[in-house]
Amino acid sequence: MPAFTIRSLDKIYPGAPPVRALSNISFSVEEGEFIVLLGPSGCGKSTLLEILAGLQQPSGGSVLFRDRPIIGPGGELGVVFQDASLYPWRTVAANVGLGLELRGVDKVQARRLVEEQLSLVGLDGFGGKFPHQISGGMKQRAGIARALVNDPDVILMDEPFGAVDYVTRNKLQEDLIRIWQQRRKTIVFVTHDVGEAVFLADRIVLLSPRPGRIAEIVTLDLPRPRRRGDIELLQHEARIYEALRALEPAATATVA
Amino acid sequence: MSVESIESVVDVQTTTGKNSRTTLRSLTAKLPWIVIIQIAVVAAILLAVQMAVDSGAVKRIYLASPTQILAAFPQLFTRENLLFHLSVTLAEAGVGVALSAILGIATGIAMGLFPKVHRFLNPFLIWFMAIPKVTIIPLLTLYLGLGFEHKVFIIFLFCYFLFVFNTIAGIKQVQDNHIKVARALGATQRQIIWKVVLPSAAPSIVAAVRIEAATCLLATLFAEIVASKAGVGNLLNKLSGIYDTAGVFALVILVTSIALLIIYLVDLLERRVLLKWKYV
Repeated sequence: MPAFTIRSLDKIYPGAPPVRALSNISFSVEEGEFIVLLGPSGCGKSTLLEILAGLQQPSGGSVLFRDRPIIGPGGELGVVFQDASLYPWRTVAANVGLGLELRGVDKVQARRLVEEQLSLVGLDGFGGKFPHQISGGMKQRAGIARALVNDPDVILMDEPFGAVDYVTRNKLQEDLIRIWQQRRKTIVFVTHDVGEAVFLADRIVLLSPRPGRIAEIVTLDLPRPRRRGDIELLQHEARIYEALRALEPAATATVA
Repeated sequence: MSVESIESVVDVQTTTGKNSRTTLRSLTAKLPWIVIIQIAVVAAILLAVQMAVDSGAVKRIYLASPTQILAAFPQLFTRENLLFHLSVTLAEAGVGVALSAILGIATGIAMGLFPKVHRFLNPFLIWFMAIPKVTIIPLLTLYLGLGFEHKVFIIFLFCYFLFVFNTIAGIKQVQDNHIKVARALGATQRQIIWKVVLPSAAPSIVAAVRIEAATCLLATLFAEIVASKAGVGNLLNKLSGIYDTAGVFALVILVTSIALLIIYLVDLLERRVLLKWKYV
């Protein structure tokens, strides 16, 4: 049974004129799979992720999570946001523990779970700090820990490493793969970075912009751990760049 | 030519940047000197006043010398029952500002969260806020008398609105992303209000507390001076009525010290409790 089944999904934002963000999207996400939604800005990849998270409603088609329609955000999915979006008035530990607090988990147990997540993402000893006291990369680690704390089977990530520097991003990617393998999660990961997509994904869903449609689904049957600069990764990258270039004229045509 | 003009602009910017930095540095370097000069200025003024009053150049009903003002303090406590008046004033101010805060923040939350409440209440609030308070004091005296309720109501008129509007402004500052995080974790509407919206509004509400801490004392004294039976403002009226200039100066110094103390305490509350996270 797939984790997500998406059938002829449409998303239209009302207005004058209405904006069609997603058009006829169909694919499924298998349990335990690492899937990357890749595309240029304006292709609706973040919208698609928010629909999977239950934060937005589709305008047409259906989205099933384990064969049931997604009614609203429920807390059984973990979501990691673009800029970490930690609450500045809470310590890192209190941010990570937010999901437990909302569910009313008892405090002693919550503290233990928070400690566990912090050490999993490499933030041992930083629980007492406030977000403005830690680096961008550490904030993203805290954001990931916050998503993991409820132990969801599925994690949805919206360009989580977009705002950190190159070296930090590579480290975060490697740690994410480690966590994914250790915890057997299903991950849906949004990015516009081709190198990142190829390094992380089992499958890449390539989206074209305005409206967002599936241009291609690329399966990367490559062994892990992957090594940056491997010829096979680079070949895939080259192919995807080619496909992205092919999308460009269509995009400019619709804009003009 | 355009390149040149850009360069000159850049040049100006860097030089002004440098200038402001050097002046700042020289300012900190010269700080001890400034403090010395400040103390000297204060001492000179005090000495001049002392000599002017002692020599009889200025009449005692216009000005009191520093030693006379110091001598007036014990008399205020013994003869004028200052502690009683002070307790009346502080009780009025405290109850007035607390009531304004509770009702003001509650109104602000209702208006910030529900657009219909905002649309309904906003014109009334603006209308009430615009009333020059002085003009309705005679009416309030008629309705509420000269005592405690009268003062509390006037303080309320002074303090309520800022709490309302700062709370609304604070609620508007809540970030969509912060709400999304809570929703994705399955938060209920009530949890979102308590754990996201209100903490986001806290800095703006605390800013109101800061301002009102000083305003409430002003409002109390204002009301007491206009119409009252007791309180520091009442005492001030009495002393100026009998031309006890030294006593009036002593009271002004006392009230100023209390205002400074309140501001300091609010500052401490903000740094240690309310917005502790900002100062770590």
